[in-house]
Amino acid sequence: MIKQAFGGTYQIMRGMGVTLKYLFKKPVTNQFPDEPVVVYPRFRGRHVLKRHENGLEKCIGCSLCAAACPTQCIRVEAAENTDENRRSPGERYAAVYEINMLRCIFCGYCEEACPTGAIVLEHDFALAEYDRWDAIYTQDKLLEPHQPKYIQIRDDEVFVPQDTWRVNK
Amino acid sequence: MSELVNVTIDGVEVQVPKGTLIVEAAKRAGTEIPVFCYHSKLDPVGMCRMCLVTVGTPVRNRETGEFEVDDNGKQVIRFFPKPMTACTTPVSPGMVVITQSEESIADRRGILEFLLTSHPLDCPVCDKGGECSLQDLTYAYGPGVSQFYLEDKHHSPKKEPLGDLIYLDSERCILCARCVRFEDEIAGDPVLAIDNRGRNSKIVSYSNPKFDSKYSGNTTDICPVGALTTRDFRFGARAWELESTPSVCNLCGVGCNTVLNTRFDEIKRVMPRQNEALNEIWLCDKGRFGHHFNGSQNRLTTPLIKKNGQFEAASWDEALALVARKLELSKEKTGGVAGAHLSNEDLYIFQKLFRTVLGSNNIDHRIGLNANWDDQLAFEVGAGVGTDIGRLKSESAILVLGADLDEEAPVLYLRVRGSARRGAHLINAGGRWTKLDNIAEKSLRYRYGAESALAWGLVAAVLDEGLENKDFVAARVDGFEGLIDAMKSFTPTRAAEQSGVSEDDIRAAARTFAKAENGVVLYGLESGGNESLQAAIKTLLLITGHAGSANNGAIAVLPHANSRGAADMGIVPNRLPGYRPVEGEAGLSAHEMLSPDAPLPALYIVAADPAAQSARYKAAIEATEFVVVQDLFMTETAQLADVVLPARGTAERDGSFTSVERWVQAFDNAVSAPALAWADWLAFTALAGKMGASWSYASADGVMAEITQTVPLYAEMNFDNLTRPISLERKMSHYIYSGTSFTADTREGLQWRSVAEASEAKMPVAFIAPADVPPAEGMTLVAPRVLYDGGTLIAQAEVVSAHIQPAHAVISRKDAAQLGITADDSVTLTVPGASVTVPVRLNGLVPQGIVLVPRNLSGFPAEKLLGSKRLTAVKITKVPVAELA
Amino acid sequence: MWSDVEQKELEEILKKYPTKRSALLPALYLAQREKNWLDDDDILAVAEALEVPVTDVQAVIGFYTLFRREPTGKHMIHVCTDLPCALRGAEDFYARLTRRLGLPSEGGTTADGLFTLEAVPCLAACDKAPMCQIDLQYYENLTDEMIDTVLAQFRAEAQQESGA
Repeated sequence: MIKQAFGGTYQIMRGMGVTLKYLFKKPVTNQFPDEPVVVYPRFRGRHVLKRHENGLEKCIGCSLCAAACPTQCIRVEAAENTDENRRSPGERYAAVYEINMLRCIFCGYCEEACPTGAIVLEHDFALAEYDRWDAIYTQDKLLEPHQPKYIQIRDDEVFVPQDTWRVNK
Repeated sequence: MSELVNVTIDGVEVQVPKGTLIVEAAKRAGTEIPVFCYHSKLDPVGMCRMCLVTVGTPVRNRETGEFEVDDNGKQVIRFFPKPMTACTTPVSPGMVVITQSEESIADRRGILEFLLTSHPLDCPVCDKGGECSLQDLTYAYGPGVSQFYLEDKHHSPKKEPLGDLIYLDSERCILCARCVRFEDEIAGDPVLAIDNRGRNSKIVSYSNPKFDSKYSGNTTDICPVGALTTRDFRFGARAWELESTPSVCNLCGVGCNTVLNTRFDEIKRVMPRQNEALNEIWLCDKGRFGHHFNGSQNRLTTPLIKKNGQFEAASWDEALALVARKLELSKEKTGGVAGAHLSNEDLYIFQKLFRTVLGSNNIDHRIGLNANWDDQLAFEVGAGVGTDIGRLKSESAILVLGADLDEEAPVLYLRVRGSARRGAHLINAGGRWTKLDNIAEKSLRYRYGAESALAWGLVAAVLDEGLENKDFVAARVDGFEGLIDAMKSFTPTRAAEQSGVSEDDIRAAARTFAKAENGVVLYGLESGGNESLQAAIKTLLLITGHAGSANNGAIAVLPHANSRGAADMGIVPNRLPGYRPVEGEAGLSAHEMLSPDAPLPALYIVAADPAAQSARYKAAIEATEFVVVQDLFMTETAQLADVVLPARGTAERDGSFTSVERWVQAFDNAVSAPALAWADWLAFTALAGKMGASWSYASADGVMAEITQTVPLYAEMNFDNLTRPISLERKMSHYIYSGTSFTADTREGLQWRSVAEASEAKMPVAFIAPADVPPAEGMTLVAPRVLYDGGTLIAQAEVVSAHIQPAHAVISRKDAAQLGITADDSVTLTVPGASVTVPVRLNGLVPQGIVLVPRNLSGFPAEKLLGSKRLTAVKITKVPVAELA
Repeated sequence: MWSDVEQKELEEILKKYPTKRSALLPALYLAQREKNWLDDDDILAVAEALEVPVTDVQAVIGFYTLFRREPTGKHMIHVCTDLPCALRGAEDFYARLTRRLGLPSEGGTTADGLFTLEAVPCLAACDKAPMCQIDLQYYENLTDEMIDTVLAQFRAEAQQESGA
């Protein structure tokens, strides 16, 4: 009985010790969104539709992302560029490009399927909406530029040398 | 059956008919040899070299002529030193083919590398991507990388209009010439060619207008790459995103099988669905591009009731209650006109509504120039079940009488032409030159109005030369002696005098037709199809024994998608469904119903626009107290109506059509209709309900179930049978051999049996003296049918609008010279009581003394001049340009 | 478009062939003889006379370089630049000639409409390169001075004609 009581106290003390130790450490908690969140460069977050340097859209509306998508959350409808209304370099552009973010599993297959590098899973992860319909991202929402202030990408050496992680595993 | 030979392909031994090409034999052995230029419907050319295989033949001993055998007793095979093209090499006995030899694989890789030297590799934006032979075969056989420099690629314009419906991207073209060969061989429109040479070779068309062919869309299907694409599907969707719904074309009577490719509830494109018995893999441009009326903004979307001269939107309940109230009053005096675009189910319910609920026989589907055509021939001696009009050979004869198949039934033209190419004896009898004359063995040029004289002349010639089929006559023909007696006064000489065709020609044609093993007669709108003509054709078929079996009999080339079905379903005042005569007195025909002198109290007009056709009809409709119109669009007739009900188009509902060859075929619902549009049968059923009947049809196949019970001809035609999957021999070979994949769960229809087939009873023949007398003096007005007319549906399809012909008249160059008319002039055509002014076109191929004014053009000039007559004498005067302005 | 003489010649040509279509090449030569190129009317006339589709006639013209769809100069100069000739300096000769005539490197028609220059493959006179064919006449072992003399002659002739 007494042994138990002392034992318990000891355990509590030990636990509190850990707590006390972290009181003097720098907190892990991030003051989101006032402070930037640091993510790895290869973090797969919200999609962005890229543009060429001259401002034209990279997307050619080929629908291969939609074909690759395992949850079928992408919808593309294509149309033809004219000289008056030129959206992308070639003949074809995406007139409708929508992603249903509620369905997306961020697998990145769309990025892999894209022949022009137009769709890229970038680093934004704050995708909460008040309305389900707002979670269907339309083309104007997806197109560049999209650089939320609260995201910072780690630029230090984040890649662990290959042989190390093999050993760790 | 022709001689069979044994060949071994990749170790599999198969027996194939002698003369079979290796590529076809390989298909039987379960091996696919990759091809680009080869197409099973076209003559082989061996242009692409993709199908190179290693071929060997058994060695014969030169002295003994015996096959040499090795120590194991096996035949010694000597392989050719070089690879052979499988698409041009016919099999020979004992041949051994190796398709997967190392050198063949290397050959294919090399060929593909060459084909891709200047290919833009823009598969992601190419409309063919996903159903492209080049794409698939490159994945299967091609090299991963090219040895050629990217900068050395040859560039040419990406989007060149080859015609107004087809775009050419010559960067993608591999010069297989499938399109050129299709137009030359199958369509008979030599409007495409390969220009220049080497790397600069390019498909061109210099016809005027460019790519002047009614079959241009087919070239995009058989194009093995994305070089030819259609205008309306450009970037419409990717092939794998489309949903496929089997349907039947509703724009002419051939009944071509189609696939409606839809995405997001919108028809993206219409593709032919393979049915070797009907349309093979072809579709005319009207069928392919004419579907755009479905999505038109001008569709009727809600029932309308006219109040104080203004239409007001109403609910179906209100509208039907009003119609029911009014029809209760008119009852058996009600008249009903139902267009032959409606499905069998609609038509059956329509006549049931009239005959049982209203007690009226006043129903008809024929208005205007078709008003007098009551085709019974198909019922009596229709071309036998299993007739394949596209695969007749030299043992068969085809007589085309007064039909411009190229304009009236385009795919039927392709098939008849195909038969003629394979050696069938084609006799084309017409009043003027038609495109079939290019390939016809014999062209008979009769005087307009003398069609029945010509037909009876053929009968007389058969009898005169003793060419009748005596066994058949003894077994199946009644009244043959009487016929001989009656025909004594009508000799071939007399027929020649009346028809203007020389006696020798009549006799020669009769000989060809009578001696042929199989004989089919196609008669069309221009023949008039009167009683005497029908009797003559029936007699001709019966005495020559060309009735009651496959590939024998008559085909009436009727104008609309379901003209045959309308006759079957009894949408005529004198017959019930299944060609049974009505009990008691016959009702009024459409022409009688639409008489301004004796208007009916109420008219129910469905899918027809009589008011636009003639002033007489318009006056009659205005004089009618209560008019209900049910249609897709606000037609001229609908504007005069008291109640307008919105209907659904073919793509928005299910049902069945009966083609001119009596194929009953079901179509499915592919897209949704405007919210308040109803299928026609549903509207009739609901109306009957308001009038006290308690019908409980839940769907179109429910209606069809009743038809199978009440109409013996349709006893087999329930939807289970109509949607039965297609039998193997009519199924698609792999699309590498034929072009774009026409994926849809293909299904075959059913043909009903004509009297000649269904029973063994004797059939009567009797001479009915030719009645039509050609107008004696002046010019004769003839109203042919053109494919792109001003019909209600096609007028709403914007893509083909450039093809739709404006009102015009065609006269011969010689007549024009005599009358001082030039190609820029307009002419006034005058008949007693009517006159119209239209621009004139000159043509060297129209016979002198004839004015052609196509029917169903905008403004309906032909209908206004002719009324319900077929031919009329017309006065033609030139209109000075100043007066027009 | 056929003149009476041409019409007669065409009939003669047609007699030599089993089908009208076979006479396409000679008929096109005949049609081109007068002005050295074929306009749309010529092509239509040939198509009608031989009952061949216009597209087929156009394709044949496209295949052969000696049928022309655009006006040419009065005299055609063909310089062979194939390998044996090039080895004997034909390429340089051709390049100098283009400059002398004021033409781009791919040849063309001079501003005065007198000459059309083209580099062509083998004219079967490798041993006498650099050489050229002007109209139907061969000029061999050419130097710049020689070709200048020849061209000057043609120019003089043309002047005489226009003067007279």
